[in-house]
Amino acid sequence: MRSFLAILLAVLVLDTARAERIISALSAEKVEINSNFIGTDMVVFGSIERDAATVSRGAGYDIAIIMKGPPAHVVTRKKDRIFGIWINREARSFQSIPTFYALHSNKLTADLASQKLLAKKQIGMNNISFSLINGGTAQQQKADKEYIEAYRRLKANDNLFQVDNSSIDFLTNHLFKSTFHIPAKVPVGEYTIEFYLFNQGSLLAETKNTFQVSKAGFEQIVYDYSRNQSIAFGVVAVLLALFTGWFGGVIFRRD
Amino acid sequence: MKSPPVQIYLPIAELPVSILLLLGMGAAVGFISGLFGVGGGFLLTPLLIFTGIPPAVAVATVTSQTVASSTSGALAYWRKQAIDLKLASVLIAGGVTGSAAGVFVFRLLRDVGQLDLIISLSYLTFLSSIGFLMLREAIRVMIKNRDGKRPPARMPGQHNWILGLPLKMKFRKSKLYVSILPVLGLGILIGFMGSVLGIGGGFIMVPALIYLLRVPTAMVIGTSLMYIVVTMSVATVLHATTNQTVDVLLALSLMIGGVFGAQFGAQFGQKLRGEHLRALLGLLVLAVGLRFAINLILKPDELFSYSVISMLGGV
Repeated sequence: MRSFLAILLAVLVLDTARAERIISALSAEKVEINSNFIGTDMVVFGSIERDAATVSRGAGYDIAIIMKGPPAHVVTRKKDRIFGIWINREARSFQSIPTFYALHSNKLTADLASQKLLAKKQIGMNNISFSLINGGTAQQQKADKEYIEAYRRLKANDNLFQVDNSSIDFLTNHLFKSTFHIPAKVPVGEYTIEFYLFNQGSLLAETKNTFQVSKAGFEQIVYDYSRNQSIAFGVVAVLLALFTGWFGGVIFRRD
Repeated sequence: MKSPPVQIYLPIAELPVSILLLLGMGAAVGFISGLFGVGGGFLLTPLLIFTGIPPAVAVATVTSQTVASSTSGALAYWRKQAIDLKLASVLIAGGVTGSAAGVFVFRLLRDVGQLDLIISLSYLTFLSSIGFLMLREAIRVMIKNRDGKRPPARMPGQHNWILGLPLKMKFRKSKLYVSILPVLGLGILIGFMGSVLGIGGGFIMVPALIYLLRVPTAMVIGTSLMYIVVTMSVATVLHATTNQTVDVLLALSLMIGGVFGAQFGAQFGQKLRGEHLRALLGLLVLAVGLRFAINLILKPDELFSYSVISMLGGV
């Protein structure tokens, strides 16, 4: 309880120390994957709140919004030709990489802030940090570059990594919105949305919001059942097959 | 022109697929299976893989679909008492052992990232050789028929060392007295391949029973179907528990298409001559094998692939 109070106090102090802050809202608290799920849109809203003492900023505000899927340990494999056939050979495993990443901003990523700051906050597809699960020397890490690029490219092909540098709509000077497209092949889990407010390259404020992507209804039941009751699930699958086969035979029986 | 396809989200494969595509594939494979009297798994699994369904899901799901496509046939032969239950039991004992090993190996290959390769390679070698043999046999018969000669019905009295192995057993219904080792071996082999590749194996089991074990033709198909239903049922449960990749929604869509397709196939098949049918089937099998060969030999557009080792953060 005391530590909680301490954190609360720290937040309050930090908050008052800042000139601006962002209040954010999402169009939905969760995304449900039903049997007719073919992807969906998520609209996020933000409001730039200023207190009375805030100086007026020249050059206006810059916004970056990042939607991130649940992180995962992933492996990227490369095919090589062996005895005339193409087979998976080398592989690199990376830890805690977002399974979905979408960056929306109002100007080119590189123009938002210094590269150092962008890298620190992992803003931009090239700034997502990849680290090998089993470490590795600097020499190796150079060789890993193509595996990292391949992961980004494959994800981008599936629309699971996106960057759109002209996708923030300013409704007023202080109110903005952006529409994210969540494709059908999206991984399930907890998603975070990070908001960053810049002015002339310096970070003024940031905030975070979360929502859930989860299977719902029939999809949820089937999936849970397959994981938690896998023997019963297998038996049901067999019974279903036996019944369908038998029923088909009954319908079309000619003898 | 792009009409909105009726998409259905598959809960285990975790991607949306057109339901019309699934029904259509089920029907097409069902038609072929009715036409040739085969299960069709050897076509369905590759078709699903080529559509973009993860191989692990394709194989495990087709395992359950094979049960459906063999059940009505097995029941029909059961009613006609055209199943050698004792022979089927020994085959099944082998089959269950084989598929347990198959599912285990499947899991292992998946973990090391070589499942796709092994599936492709196995399909390639296996389908090309079977397709080639079928085609050759059918063409021989066709040539003989054209020359007006009848093919010899069966070579009598030919000795087969396999049948003379120890541990002989009497199969009264098939009028056989053979070693149970080749019977078990056959069951194990087809059960193993069935659960790794997602095929029932009827198109290997039937010729093996006829030519290798000399089972009377009247008993062959019923016994083989019985074997497939039981072995693939066990394989489905094993896949569901070990790999958790049986997608019931996918299976059901394929089964429904398949049940209808099979009826039309069977009717159509009666109009064709046996050797022509076998030649066609041989060509088809060969074509699927070659398709895998092309994938393996040509340089792929994308050399890289990724997969998730483990998700972090609670799902």
